[in-house]
Amino acid sequence: MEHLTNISDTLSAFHSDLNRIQTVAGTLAQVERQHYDDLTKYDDERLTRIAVAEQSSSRQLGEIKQLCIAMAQKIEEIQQSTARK
Amino acid sequence: MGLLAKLLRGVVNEVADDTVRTILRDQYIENLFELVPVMKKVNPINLAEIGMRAAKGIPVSRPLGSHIHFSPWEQLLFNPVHLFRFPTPENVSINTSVKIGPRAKKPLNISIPVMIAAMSFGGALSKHAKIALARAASMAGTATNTGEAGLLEEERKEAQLLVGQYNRGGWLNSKDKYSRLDAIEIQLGQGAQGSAPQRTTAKNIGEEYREVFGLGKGEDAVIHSRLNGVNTKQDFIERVRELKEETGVPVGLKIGATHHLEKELQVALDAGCDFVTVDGAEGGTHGGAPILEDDVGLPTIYAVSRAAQFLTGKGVKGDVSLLAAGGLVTPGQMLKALALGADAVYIGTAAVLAMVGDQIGRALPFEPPTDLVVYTGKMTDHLDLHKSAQNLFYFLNACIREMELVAASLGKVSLADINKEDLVALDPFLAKALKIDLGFVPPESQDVFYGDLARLNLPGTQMREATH
Repeated sequence: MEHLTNISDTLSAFHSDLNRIQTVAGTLAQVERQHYDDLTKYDDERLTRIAVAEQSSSRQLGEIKQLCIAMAQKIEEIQQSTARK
Repeated sequence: MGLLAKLLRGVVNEVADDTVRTILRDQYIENLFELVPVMKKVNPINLAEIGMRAAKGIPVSRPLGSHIHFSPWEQLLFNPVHLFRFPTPENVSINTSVKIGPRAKKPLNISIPVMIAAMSFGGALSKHAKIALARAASMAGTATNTGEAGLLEEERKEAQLLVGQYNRGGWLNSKDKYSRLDAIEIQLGQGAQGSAPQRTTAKNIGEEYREVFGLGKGEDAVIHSRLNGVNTKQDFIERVRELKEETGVPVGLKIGATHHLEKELQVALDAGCDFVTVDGAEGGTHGGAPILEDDVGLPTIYAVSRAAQFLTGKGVKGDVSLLAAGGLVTPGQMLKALALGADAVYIGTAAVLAMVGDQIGRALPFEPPTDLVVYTGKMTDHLDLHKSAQNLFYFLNACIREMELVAASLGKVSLADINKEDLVALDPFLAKALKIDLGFVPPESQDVFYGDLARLNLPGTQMREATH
């Protein structure tokens, strides 16, 4: 029983951490997007190159956010299934 | 005008007059103009290839696949929304990520739905080219593919995500190699070659190629028509099961698309494949016989649509990922393939051309641009690795950004949400085949239109149902 409680606590901690990572990734993705918009305003080739890298980073952070959401959902499912046992 | 210019102008004038007179008066038997109708009848590509066959007596090896546009992508258009549903606000991010093989223990997550197609080190590309492709893919958060080769250490190092081809040459088929991959694609065929055997002769194989492929000195690199030890469906099923158990990564099947598509995919489903890759007839290659490129296979547009409909019908769409390949060169074509049901697409020719980009001038005018990237090219040392990776990364980014613009215009927040309902066809037969609306008439009048068309009974317009 103690073992199950430990797993439950660990899952809750993971869930909380994933939510935090998800929030940070989402916020950073927005920041990167804003950088892209800001840097492309100047119509400067070098700045545009940096902007493109920012845009791609924003997408990859968006992917991290989606992965975290999916993992958090999976943890919720596991928590519900262990609670029923 | 100077004296020399006047003289030159006079000479040009005389020559032009004489040429026009000759063309207009002489009979074909002694007239150079004969080449024009001949070119028109035979076409310049066929004329050159007739000459190449006649010169050596062996099949011509044509790079980058068929020049014929089999898939009528231009007959499909997306439908933006304005009022009845609203476009996506510009401050909302469009999700571009995809999970390949979601049922696998370790699915392949990519940030964009575009991957670099299978192009092997040695058999196709130089080491520099392979490294540049891998580096660009990593920068964009996507995967690259080994092609039918061994494991090139430099490629593995550069590629954040590497799809490896378990191949008919057997060069990647040992556990020490395939256990280092992020996904395994069992290669039984490709759009540009069907399932035909291929051979690279020993004289075109350098030391590093031999080492990566595990070949002996003087040994040819042979791609057999069958996978070693796979002679029955059950053999294939067993092989997939073993690979899945041993690695946990997504294991998929790659085939050249044909009219037997559904039968082939059924075996893949029976085997428990995590993904299937269908390579349409427009698929590229480093060099293939024109007959295999131009006269074999099923066009990508129908292959994707049929495969997606098959997976949906079997209730596994979303569980078994569908990867589309073959002649996809514009972001519009790539997005249409996604809308028809592909989870991600592979690009080969476009990736290579993007990678070479403005370096093309280093090869021209005396060598073709591919000379910079193919293994046997004379100018592979002239390829700037950093610039090549950068070029391809920019190309991928631009393509995805264009797709995002369409997604926003369709009112979608994810590229994966774009589907057939966002498309309209400009050809009634294509619309029927792909099961999408025809743009000629409103959605509610589609059946009436097809009924009227059948009743007209015009030659070439009979739907199959109407003739039976």
